[in-house]
Amino acid sequence: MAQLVLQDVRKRFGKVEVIHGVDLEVKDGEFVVFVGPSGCGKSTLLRMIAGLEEVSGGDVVIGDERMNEVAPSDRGIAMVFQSYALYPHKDVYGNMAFALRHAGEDKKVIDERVRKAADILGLEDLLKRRPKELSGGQRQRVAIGRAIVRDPAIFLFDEPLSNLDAALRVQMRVEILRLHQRLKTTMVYVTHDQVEAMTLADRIVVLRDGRIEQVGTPLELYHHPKNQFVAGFIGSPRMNFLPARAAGEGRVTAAGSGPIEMPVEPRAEAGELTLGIRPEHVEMVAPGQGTVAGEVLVAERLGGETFLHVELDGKETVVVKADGGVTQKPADRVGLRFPPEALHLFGGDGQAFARRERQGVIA
Amino acid sequence: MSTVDTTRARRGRMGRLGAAAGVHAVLLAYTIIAIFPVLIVVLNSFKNRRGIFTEPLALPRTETFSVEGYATVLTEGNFLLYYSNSLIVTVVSLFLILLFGAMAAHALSEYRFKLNALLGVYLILGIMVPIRLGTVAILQLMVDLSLVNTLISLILVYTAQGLPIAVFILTEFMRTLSRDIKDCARVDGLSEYRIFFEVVLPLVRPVLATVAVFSMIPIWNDLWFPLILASSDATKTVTLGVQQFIGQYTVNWSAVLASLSIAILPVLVLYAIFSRQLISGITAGAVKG
Ligand SMILES: Nc1ncnc2c1ncn2[C@@H]1O[C@H](COP(=O)(O)OP(=O)(O)OP(=O)(O)O)[C@@H](O)[C@H]1O
Ligand SMILES: [Mg+2]
Repeated sequence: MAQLVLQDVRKRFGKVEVIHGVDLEVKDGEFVVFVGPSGCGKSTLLRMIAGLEEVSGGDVVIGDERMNEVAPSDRGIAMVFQSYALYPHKDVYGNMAFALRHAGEDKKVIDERVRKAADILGLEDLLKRRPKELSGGQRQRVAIGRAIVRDPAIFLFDEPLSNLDAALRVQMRVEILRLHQRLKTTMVYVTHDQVEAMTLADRIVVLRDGRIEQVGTPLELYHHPKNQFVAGFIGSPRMNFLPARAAGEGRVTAAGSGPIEMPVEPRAEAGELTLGIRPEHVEMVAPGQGTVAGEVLVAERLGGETFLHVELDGKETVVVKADGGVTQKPADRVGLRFPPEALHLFGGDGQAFARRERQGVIA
Repeated sequence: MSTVDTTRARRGRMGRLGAAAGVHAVLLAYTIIAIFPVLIVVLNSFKNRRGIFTEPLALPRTETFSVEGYATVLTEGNFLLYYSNSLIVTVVSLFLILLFGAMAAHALSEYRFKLNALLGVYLILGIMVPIRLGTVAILQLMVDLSLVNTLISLILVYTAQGLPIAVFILTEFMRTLSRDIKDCARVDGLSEYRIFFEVVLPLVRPVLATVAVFSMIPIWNDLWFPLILASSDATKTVTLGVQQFIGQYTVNWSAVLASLSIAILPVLVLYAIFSRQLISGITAGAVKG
């Protein structure tokens, strides 16, 4: 069993605290993704799990053992780094065998394990090459192979794909998913790319400024973000936010609209409200109909879909994900309909109002 | 339009060519100036005394050719001993400079500890203070330690002299090494010492070679400390040994030039070794080895 538990984990560099008490439980065999903007502490948290960074407060527990003072090599983890971190003076085989050789493992066992890992990752023909002679994707595969060979209880990945080009990233993403399905090992994966997070994770941990904002399955985060930050971070293009005003009886007005029925549990709220709607949920209708109206500023045509940036009459901009074939051009007037069931509402403190329908959530 | 473009392009190319020629002319001139005296020394070492004085710039001819200088050097005096003294001092000092320099640099660049920056400044302060200023104190120290007239005294002094710049350069370079690869070795279970020897040292090999090359020359050429600390016959170095052919009234020029010519050899050999390291370090992995 290799579950991972973080209890009120804190990290200080000198006097500055960068991780402010993180509590998290990762179940055995789970694929958990840490996601958040740059500098939020993802790598630091991961390095504390690995034992590469001292824990300033709280406990890191792997299996049933408190690991705070245990050396990285004795934690049963393997880590894959963003920069691959291959030993440049060793060939692929040497890189993969290094840890085992160092641990004094039997030659036969090493050979068997290296070849098995090479087989899983399709590296059989590259075993004699030096890292310099490999492409980026191959290097990353070697780095992953090196982790597999160690047969860890937990895999740790720190942005392993961010040095690869877009096409390769998609391919490696699939390979990592298949690897997880095959090995069924606990994996903790750090990325700032929310698409990677959505596609890979069993559960996503959204971090901001050293705090967990929300933990949940990808669809939970998509449909029921706890606050405006998570709502804006998950989903691409990001959710549209419009200042809103309570209009009584569970309704609000926003951007010059009439009263809109909100699908949320009512809550006493005095301050400013924010209405949220994802670009893919906005519907385009004839001018004069719909919830609000505005003028097209820019049309980004991707072929299969078009992103229209629409300036509302109240000067707010709303991004609409429309069909690839829409004919609207800049300066055209359009009407926009906000389907009530797709709306999100946030209080003045950014906290979301609980949405009534727990739609599409895979529990 | 296109003609203007091509002329401009041509002028650009000509300009670049001109600049390259200029650079090469300067380098060539410098090379000639630098090599000329060495060449004269080597040439004249193969002449007899008359040849050296009557036609110092000419190639050795049948009448002037002679290896009497080499004969004197190899038979008279303990030249081979001086030679091996110089080699021992240089090689051992170099080894210590590189080892301790690299270790200190690794510690300064890798570990966060109190006074790290201060220690760094202290270690490289020696670059600005010539070690010869401390000669009297060093001599006293060596006398107290009974190390006068031993090669160890020279090795200690040269190690101290070479360390600051070695630490400085290696620290700067090691700071640029990827942190990930050391962390990866930690996860793989290597001790800090093995990380240093098995991961860091191979990565800084080209820089080690560079440091070795320019730490080596001043040690090999030094006359000052051998004269002061180790002038006994058993511990003389080549530079000091040559002095025996320079008498108060007569100078055996053939012997002096011959010993100097021989003295160039090991430096060349060491340089060749290190510069190969340098190149193989730079291309490591790119070329199948
Ligand atoms: N060694 C260090 N000394 C001081 N501060 C540090 C150190 N390492 C990280 N920090 C700080 O800790 C915070 C979190 O850094 P961390 O590297 O974990 O961010 P991250 O989420 O991984 O960002 P990125 O997506 O850019 O990799 C940052 O504010 C950073 O400045
Ligand atoms: Mg990071």
